[in-house]
Amino acid sequence: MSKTKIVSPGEKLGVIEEYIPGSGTYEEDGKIFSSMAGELEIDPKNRSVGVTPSKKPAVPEVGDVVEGIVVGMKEDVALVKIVEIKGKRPLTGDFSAQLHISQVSKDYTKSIFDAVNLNDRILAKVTTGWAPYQLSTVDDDLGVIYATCTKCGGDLVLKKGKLYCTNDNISEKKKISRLYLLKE
Amino acid sequence: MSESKIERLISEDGIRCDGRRLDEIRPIKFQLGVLKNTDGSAYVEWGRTKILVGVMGPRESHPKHLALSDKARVEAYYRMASFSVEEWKSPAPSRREVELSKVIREALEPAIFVEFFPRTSIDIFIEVLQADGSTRCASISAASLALVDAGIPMRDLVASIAVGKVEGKLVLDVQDKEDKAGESDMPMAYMPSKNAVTLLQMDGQITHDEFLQSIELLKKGCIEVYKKQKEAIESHFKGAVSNEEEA
Repeated sequence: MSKTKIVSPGEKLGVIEEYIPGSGTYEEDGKIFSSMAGELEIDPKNRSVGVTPSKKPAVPEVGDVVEGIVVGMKEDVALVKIVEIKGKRPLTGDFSAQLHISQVSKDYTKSIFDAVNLNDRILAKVTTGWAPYQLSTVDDDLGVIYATCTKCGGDLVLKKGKLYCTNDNISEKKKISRLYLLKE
Repeated sequence: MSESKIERLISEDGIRCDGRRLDEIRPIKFQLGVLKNTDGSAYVEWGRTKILVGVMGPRESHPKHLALSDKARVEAYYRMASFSVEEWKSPAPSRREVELSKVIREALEPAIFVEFFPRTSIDIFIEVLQADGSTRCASISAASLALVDAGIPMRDLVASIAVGKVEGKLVLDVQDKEDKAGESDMPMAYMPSKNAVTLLQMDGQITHDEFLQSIELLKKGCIEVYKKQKEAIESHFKGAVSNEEEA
């Protein structure tokens, strides 16, 4: 491993005439300071300086894919509890989010109940930077990844593009993710 | 008359009851990342004072009506363990603990980029395991390291230390014995590379000249604490790198 320099917050890294302040830094009075503890990274080509920390706060940001559980249904919006942010460390608290009917899929969705229902586990993308986070399930990978039967509570299995309950022999309509967990 | 006259706290040649010089700090040992279930944590042994700090957040503010729309809400919870002092301490939060929670929060908040995390809260849990004076200073210094460990962007580290007046002399980093017998106690929290004071308290009586001398002494002490903090961060990262290589 190459020799790396560890910096801590408040350390002066240079002046703005020298470098462009990158991630983990901030600028004040024309000077660049580190805002995090981590490895100092100087990019001589782009003349930028940044700090790579070992940990980053696990907060949803625009573009993050998150896993959530549907905890409430309203007329045109589903209330979602974010339980995991993909690619970030485990959460110490849940974040609340909303999935609006217009953000469910590319096609027209007549009712929010045709997309998700209570207790569904969904994958979604975050589209706003603060709570309540707005979600979108437009991509093929996004949507419901695990759901239970509304009648018996048993697992729903993906069969020929539809979600079936083997107990009751019924199917349910949902915005299904390509990554649905139980496939036949 | 008073006990301190019988048992001298400072000897003729300026050595304190625990063998330190007047402007010498106690041995300080910081450690980062000691707790698994928090976002960031730190442990400090500051002489005989032992404090554990855990940081959780930024996470969603609860109750939600307390969330701030433009920044994160910082909350500190200072707590002393029942076994932390000589006599058993009631586990209920005392007036002193509530007050210290407030001043610790206000000492740390200027250092945190709270505007990066709107509508969230950052909780700092401080558990004093053993108290021997300067617990608020040790708490602030350790909490700023715990925030760093959580990866929360900060303007600077916050270092903190206290100066007391004992037997007419100004002493750096007062311990419990000196604090109780002394005439004055003055803790300060300081951001060394910003040259900014975030906490300054005082009780007792000192003269204007002594106050100015104290400030100089406090700055010197804070910079020493700051060096220890930076050492802890470096050794934490070196440890993390060697762990990766092993794995």
